Amino acid sequence: MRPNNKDKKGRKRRPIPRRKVCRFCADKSLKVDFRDAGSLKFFITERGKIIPRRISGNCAHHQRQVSMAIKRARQIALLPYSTSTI
Amino acid sequence: MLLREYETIYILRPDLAEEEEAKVGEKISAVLDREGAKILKHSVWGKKKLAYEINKQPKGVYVSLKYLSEPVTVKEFERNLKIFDPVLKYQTIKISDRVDVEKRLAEQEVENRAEEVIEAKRREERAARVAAEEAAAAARAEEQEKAAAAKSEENKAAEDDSISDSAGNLAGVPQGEEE
Repeated sequence: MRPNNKDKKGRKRRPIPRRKVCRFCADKSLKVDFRDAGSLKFFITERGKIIPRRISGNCAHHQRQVSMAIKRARQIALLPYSTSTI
Repeated sequence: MLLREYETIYILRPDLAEEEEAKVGEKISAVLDREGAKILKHSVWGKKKLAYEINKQPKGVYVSLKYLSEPVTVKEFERNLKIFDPVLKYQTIKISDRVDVEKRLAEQEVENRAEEVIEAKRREERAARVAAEEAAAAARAEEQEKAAAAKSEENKAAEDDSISDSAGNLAGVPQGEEE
């Protein structure tokens, strides 16, 4: 039998998401820097897209900084705009 | 006096010789000097792989320039970079508005000096490591020589019949294409 993930009225129940903590807020010594492509890789998908806030868990302030840094890094060829299809 | 602080990163072609690279760097810095900008720092990051090809080049030499200047200067500077042939790409970023020149220059002086100390230390460590490696390599070579000498005597008798197919195995394995 499949696990019952519907409530009494038959609506799909979503799992309660665990609140993630923004890593930049948690560790004040971390800085967002567009020159540091290695640590920005954390916030892009394999295809080179920016990972949304709801998944990365960044706060609004730091997500803005991260996305800005990624865009700058792309411009100077430190990060790809997109990677070719596999 | 208040100016703005900018950072320009430019990428040079990877096929330049080292002296040429230095010459190009000087030429570019000279443009800034002429326009009356105060250069804070000139640092070469070295040859890096580009995330995507620029002018069919897979690699490039990254150079970063930090300076204080008026906004107009940046425009003129970028115009020069655009004309300049060995420059593949450039990007200017405003780091801060309204910087007190004297104060910032003094700050940078301190920073540069601190970095020099670190750099010197690193160089020393590297030299020590290289020396150690060389000593190890020499020791290893000596050992190998000894072993080889011992072996060659052993093998002399068996060599005659095993010499035939050693050449066939040397062909390189073709590398799979990147996906």
